[in-house]
Amino acid sequence: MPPRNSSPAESDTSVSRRNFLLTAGVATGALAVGAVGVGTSVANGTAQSVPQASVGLTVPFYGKHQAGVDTPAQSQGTFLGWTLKPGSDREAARRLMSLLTDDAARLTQGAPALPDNDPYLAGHPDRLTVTFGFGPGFFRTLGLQDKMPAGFTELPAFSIDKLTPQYSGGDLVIQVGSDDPLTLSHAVRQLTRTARSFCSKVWSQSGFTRDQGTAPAGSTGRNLFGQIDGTINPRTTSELAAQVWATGQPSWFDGGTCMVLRRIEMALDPWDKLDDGGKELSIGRRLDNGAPLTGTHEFDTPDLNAKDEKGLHVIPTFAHLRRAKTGNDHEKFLRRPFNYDEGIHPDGSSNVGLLFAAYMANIETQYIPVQQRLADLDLLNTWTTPIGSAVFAIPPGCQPGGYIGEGLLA
Amino acid sequence: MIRTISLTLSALIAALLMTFAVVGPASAHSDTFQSTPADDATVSTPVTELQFTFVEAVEPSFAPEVLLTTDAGVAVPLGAPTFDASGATMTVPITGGALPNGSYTAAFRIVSADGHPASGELVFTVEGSDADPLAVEPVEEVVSPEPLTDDMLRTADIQESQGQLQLGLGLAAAAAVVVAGVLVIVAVRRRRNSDSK
Repeated sequence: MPPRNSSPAESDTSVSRRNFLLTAGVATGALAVGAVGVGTSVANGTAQSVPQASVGLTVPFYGKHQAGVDTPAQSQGTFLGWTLKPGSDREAARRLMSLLTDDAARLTQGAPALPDNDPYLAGHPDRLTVTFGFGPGFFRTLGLQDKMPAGFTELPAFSIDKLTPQYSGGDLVIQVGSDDPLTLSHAVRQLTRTARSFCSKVWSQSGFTRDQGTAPAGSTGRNLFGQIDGTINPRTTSELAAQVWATGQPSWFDGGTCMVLRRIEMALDPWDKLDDGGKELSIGRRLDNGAPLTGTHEFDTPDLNAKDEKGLHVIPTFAHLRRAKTGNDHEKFLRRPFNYDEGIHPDGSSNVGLLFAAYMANIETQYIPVQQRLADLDLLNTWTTPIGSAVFAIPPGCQPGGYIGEGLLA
Repeated sequence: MIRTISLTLSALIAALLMTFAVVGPASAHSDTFQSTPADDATVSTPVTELQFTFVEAVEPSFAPEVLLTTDAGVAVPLGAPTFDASGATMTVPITGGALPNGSYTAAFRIVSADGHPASGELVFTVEGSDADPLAVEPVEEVVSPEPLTDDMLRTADIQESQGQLQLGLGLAAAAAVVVAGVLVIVAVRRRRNSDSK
């Protein structure tokens, strides 16, 4: 199953037909400098003869899985957390999700939402994806606790956490990603107008990766500590199937996944006082190319038993890599983080960090054991503080005419 | 006049450089250590423990890695490290008691209170010991299993020791200023002397 590849049947809908050719190129993962060039040349040279909505690259909205999970991370990402208004029932939730699905299906394919006061901002989707997820409160409020996915659970309180309500919890998440900040802002506004009729906002968090074209396609991103972050991610279809996509129980969640979103503040000023050797020891990887300290290339297998000339572990006992690493295939998952930069704190220090978004079929068995080990011991904790935390069940995708969450709410 | 100012400036810069030379760059501070036995020492009293004193307190939650090996490469079993009230002195017991005669290499990696990893190595020789030679058995290094629990006390201790360190830095800076002043006076006098000729 090629991830989010488009078949002609899937694409031949009112919202995505116009972009089928571009879509096919993007969805196969061929996005590179050249592909960005397609959009640019269309916009600059032949805008008059090209329909507005075909400018920019699209990721299919409809499919077995929601987009925005196995989609290579866009350069911009925003997460919106909402709580259902008191007294919300399943009928209200159905209407909410139908309307949001319609907005997302249009906007991601370069068409305006209905209604859209600024339709000219919709025509340049630049890999826009919209992904919806339900928090534990969504199930509770609607009396659907018995339909919670297996292994979908709140996280325990970790000793390293200093969580603030400002960035925690939520009944509904809307995750929006695009390579174009203006497109992203417009999409967020349209989705917000729909959501706020049914929900109250809890939080909004935005982040970024590298601009498309500034790094080789498919290369692992860097965080604001300068570390290459995400080397061990699942990449093949079979790895994604084993780690990310839920199967079986309950049946409505088949093809869904769970998201853990952690806002991790990074203390850059103390980190900067560490020399490169100390930085590499704290993570267990080289800064230049992300190779384990026992290897030479990023994807070399770390040797946790290797000793240096003094007899000390090359990858120290406190290194993040050693603490996170697992030989247990059931403790692996997808990391799709965005960096955040909220400017400068009043004391002059940088208000920066990571929106750590991780996706797995089962939070309980795949995520919590790894996070517990890192909370117990990880030198990187010296410079990082989780200040927000939320979990969401990301329903499977839907087909034209359907809506996200229909298996749960219908 | 300009030359006088430039001489003064270079004297100040020299003084600043001396300050850094004395204190050392921040990144290397925790690599500096003293030990008992000392590096290169030959010891005739019984050696039953290793003691390391660092410039900064050790963060005990990150288990120190400590190794002691004979010149034949035999690992000597060690107990869990303990720390004094300042947190900067680490004592590691030798499980089997006093060391037999021979040459030994000790190596460590610790994490200091500010999270900076540091490692080091020392060599010493034991003479005149009546302990039996070590049994040859492959033993991995011992890692202290339990972090200290009295975090409050530990934090207070660390702050105190940092205060002492800062006092030390302040004294070094003050000394540097005095040196700079002397250099300036000497430079100015020389300048005046050369002018009068």
